[in-house]
Amino acid sequence: MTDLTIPDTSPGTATVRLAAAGDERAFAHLVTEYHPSMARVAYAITGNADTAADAVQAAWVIAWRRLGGLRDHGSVRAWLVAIAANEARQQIRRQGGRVILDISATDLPGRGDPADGIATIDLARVIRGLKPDDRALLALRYVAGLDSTEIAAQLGGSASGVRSRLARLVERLRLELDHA
Amino acid sequence: MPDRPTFDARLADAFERYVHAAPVGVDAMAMTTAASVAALPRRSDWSSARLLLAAGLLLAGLIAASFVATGGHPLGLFTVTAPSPVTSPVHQTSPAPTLAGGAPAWEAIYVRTDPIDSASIDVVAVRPDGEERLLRRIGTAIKGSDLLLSPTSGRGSENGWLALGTTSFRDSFHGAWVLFDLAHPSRESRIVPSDGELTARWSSDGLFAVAGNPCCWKVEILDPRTGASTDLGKIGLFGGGPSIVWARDGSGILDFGRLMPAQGGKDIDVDPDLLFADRRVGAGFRAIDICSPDQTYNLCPSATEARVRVTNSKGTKTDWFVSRNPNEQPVGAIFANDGRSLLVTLDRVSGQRHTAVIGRMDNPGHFLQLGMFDLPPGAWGPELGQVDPSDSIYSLWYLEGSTDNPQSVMGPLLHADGTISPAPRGTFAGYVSGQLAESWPALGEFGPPQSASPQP
Repeated sequence: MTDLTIPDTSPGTATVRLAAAGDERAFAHLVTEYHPSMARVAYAITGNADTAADAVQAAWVIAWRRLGGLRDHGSVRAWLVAIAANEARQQIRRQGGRVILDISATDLPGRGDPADGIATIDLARVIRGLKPDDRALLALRYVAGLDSTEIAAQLGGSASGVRSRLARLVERLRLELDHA
Repeated sequence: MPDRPTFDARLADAFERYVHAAPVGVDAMAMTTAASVAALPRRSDWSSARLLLAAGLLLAGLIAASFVATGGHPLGLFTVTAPSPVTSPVHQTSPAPTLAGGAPAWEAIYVRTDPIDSASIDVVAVRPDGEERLLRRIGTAIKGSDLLLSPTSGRGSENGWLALGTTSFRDSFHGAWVLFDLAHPSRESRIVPSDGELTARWSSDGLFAVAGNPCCWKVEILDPRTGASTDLGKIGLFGGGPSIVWARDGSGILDFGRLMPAQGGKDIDVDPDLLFADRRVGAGFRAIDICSPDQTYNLCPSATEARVRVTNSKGTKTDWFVSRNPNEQPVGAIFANDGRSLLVTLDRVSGQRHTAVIGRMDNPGHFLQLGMFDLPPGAWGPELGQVDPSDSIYSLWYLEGSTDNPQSVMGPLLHADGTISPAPRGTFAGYVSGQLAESWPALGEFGPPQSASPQP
């Protein structure tokens, strides 16, 4: 698979430790750093800006409560985006899958040969047909850039199991998108 | 000629474009403060936090300015041509019911797609006995706009206004609320642009509050009767946002555990007896936590049994319900209409079957069962939906399907007298007094639903 590793510019573990102890400035530092990633993951799962915002805000409340229990401070980014993904799944569950996908009719320009690209509207259509769990898996991989080991650590299970699920999902997407 | 990108790379690229409309803007300090308030409801001196918020205000202003510059609308209020008029005939009527003893205390307002004309939305008033009156039929198209009215986002005020949200496929931030005066069908509707809006709520006396984004939690209050608007600035909304929680008397909105007066100005302490319109908030800013050791995020880390915990305005926690039976777990709780008692939902499991049990608790440890409903085979996850202002009608929801892809299903209505009736079709929008609703003109009347079949 393509290397999706995102450069680590994360706040240090000292910041996480301070935030876990209730230091609001340190926590705000985490918000500044990780909110965009969480919002993108939640949006990828819900397809709706309002619902995604709701999910991420709920995720920050959970993070405030539970940060003290995070053992590996170096994994805070994966931990936060996983909470956002879980809250986004819960939002879909609460709304019974009735979330309205609000998608842009036009893709961003300047992405090279259009024939090489996947239209946003096609991706949105395919995502809409996926289970919330599968959407979360794809979002953690392709939006948050987590590898299978990180995803497994956050969601439970084995890295090989995550790889297998991802491979099946990607194959399904390839079939559906290449015929879109 | 360069190699064609791998599918993996194309997929990553497509996801990157797909999420470009994600709501990434945030005021970090405001989010931090709101998260801490939501996590532990308490009175605090927020003056230092507010000083820090000043920097956030400047940032939010810059974001807003850039948003407007790129085609967005600031929140505001103006009138437009009314949506398409009603043209199709009323398709079903039944004799008007005789209401013994006058109008009911409350009637529910529901909105739904018209079963014959899918380009129209029906607005109906539903009496407690299930009899329905069609109040309005509204075309979904809005002249001069690419927006369509949505039948799934109705919000009604107690004084008879209805706000309908919109859907748009242009972009995520593009939207509006359209406000209708149910008492006066000929009155021109009003459109409230809500690009990037997070939420909106009516006060009991008919003021419409909208929380905007990307100016996180900037709240504007609109009076549809006069067109007047009041900018309250940034507010620390309940739960870290985006919930707008009105005081039940319409005097203001929760702001960082204090009260922002509806007319603006400085926030004030929450009176210990003040009631709120949102049942998640009790008198004087009490809050409820459902603690479950089985959940990933147990809100009561030291507790080994599921419980319902209330935190008062001073931060004192009291366990109202502690589950001693692993087959009977609390799954939801809201405050009763007095803001102090609780309405608690239990999930009672016997073999593979789940039963929803709703009870009232006037004191910790005292659970009085109000009603119960056996979920259909294969269903689970009961939730309490709307409760009427008299605490006498409770709507139920539950889940069906596989656990990794559940579908939420609207169940029946449970009545305080022990009866069970089918839920009305459509989306619940709000309650109005029966006397007011009965005074409105109607296009036709309907009998109650004849079966208790669930609605997906």
